[in-house]
Amino acid sequence: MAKPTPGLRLFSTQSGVELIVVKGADGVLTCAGAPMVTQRPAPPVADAGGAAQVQLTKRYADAQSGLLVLCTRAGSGPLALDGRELTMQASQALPSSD
Amino acid sequence: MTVVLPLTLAAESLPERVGVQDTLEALTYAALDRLSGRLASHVRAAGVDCVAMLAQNSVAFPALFFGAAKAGVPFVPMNYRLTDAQLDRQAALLGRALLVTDPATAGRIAPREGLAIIDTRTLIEAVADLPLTDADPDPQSEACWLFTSGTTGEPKTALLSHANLTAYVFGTVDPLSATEDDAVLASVPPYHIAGLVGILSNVFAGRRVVFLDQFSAEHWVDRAASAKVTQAMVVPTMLGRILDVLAARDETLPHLRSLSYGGGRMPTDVIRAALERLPHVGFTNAYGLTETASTITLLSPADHREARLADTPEVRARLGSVGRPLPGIEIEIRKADDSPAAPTERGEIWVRGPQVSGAYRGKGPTLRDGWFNTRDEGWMDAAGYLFLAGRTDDVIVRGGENISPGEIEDTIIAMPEVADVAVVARPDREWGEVPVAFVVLRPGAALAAEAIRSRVRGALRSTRVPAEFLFVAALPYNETGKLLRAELRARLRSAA
Repeated sequence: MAKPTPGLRLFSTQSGVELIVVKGADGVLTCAGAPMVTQRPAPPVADAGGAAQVQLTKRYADAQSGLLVLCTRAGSGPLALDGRELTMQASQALPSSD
Repeated sequence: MTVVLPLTLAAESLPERVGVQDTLEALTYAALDRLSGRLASHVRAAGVDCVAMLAQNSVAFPALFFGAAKAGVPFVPMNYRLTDAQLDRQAALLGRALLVTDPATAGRIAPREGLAIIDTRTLIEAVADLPLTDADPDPQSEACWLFTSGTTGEPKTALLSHANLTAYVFGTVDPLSATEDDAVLASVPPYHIAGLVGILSNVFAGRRVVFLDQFSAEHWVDRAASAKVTQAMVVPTMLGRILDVLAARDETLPHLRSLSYGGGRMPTDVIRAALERLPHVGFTNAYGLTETASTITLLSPADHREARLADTPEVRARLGSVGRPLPGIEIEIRKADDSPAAPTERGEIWVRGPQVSGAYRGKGPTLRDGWFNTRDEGWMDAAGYLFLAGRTDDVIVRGGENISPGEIEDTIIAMPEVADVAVVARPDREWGEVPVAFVVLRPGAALAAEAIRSRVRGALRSTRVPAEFLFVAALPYNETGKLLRAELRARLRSAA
């Protein structure tokens, strides 16, 4: 169980969800109820297909701690920090400047 | 977060997609990842402190940038447009370095102790059988050094950490969001901060990067059409020339969806002409500096459309604005006494945020409470749109290249016939700004403009040669002996 620090890649043990931590925080980050891990599970996890889908390229945040994560592979969630469910951020919709 | 992560992600998720290509070859993301890992092993074994590159754009540029990062040393792209003497002074600052050249730059930097000079092709062949080094460096370590000329013409080495370079990318770019058909044309030279950050954001998005080795408007239009380029970034000077070529060929680049520009003053008539010629393209104006790891404000395509069609003068004026700050970036306009300026009031532009470095090699910290002084003058309108008014320190920005008046003045004043000289910027439709020299001759002396012109060309480089020489009886100074450059600039404007 790793503290979510910026740049850390995290993998769900319950679904195919993969994340990058953009802004770190203290606490335990879970996906579908189980703590996320720093190594991709082998063999790949069969996705149980829960209701809460974590979406590719979306950012999820915890307002209380400031945690911000970026989804790099979609799958079933939900994501939570110390039991508080993360909320999906509205797209920044920035045009590319480079 | 480090610059390695975007490549790792693209190589894992889109291994077979072409990631980078130039006129000679194309590399998939997986191939780019492997090549950079092999280069990193070579860099580690060589035991150097940095990887310098004196070469035009090619697939070797991203390979060396990522390779240096994986080896945990900074990447140092050098400006091949400098004179050999200037390059030699920069090479002396590299320490123990691997210096990679291409056929166009080979031999330009003389061998020196600590410097291992190697040609790109030779290096890539030499690493073919090396194992992969895929370490992730410390996010606070230096990811690149960039030489900037600054106010006095004395070269400064700006330092950017992995955290500085990636803050913008991870904060604003949607990873792996590009489609198979997306392609960006990279024509900004590799020694420009926008070239470096462009690689990161496009690799993170999984977008194919098409490199243009050297810019010409014809070449750019050919490549944009043949590679079905969907987006590109140019400096204002490039855009003016591109529009001329498009008009001459009656070409509309139907695949192009977005075009961003920055790095200098964009004349309003040029951007208006661009909006009319390319109605299907979204235009973005980006403002940033080397020390801020590129973009800090953006004028979006919607802002451009709104300003173009607006009835109110305030909104119409925004076509000349650099837009609003990115999320996570704070901007303040400060007056000479350090107090905050009111909306529309002019002052110096200060910036704060995670991508702001403000660190230079061998110098102490320059940030004040996290704030960096851009030394650009400007103002903000009531809606938070930023307008630039010029460089505080009178640097002339010619076609995206910063020119220090001091080095031109030093060259001219060294001529025995010259009593005094000042070089200032004159607005120019093609270049954004060009240098113009005001020259005071000694009593009784005679000197032709052509003689000064050839002297500057011989001592510096062609971009430093003033566009015009105006012979005057005296230069304006204030009571404390400070040259009034603003007055000279005003004279040029009123004469135009």
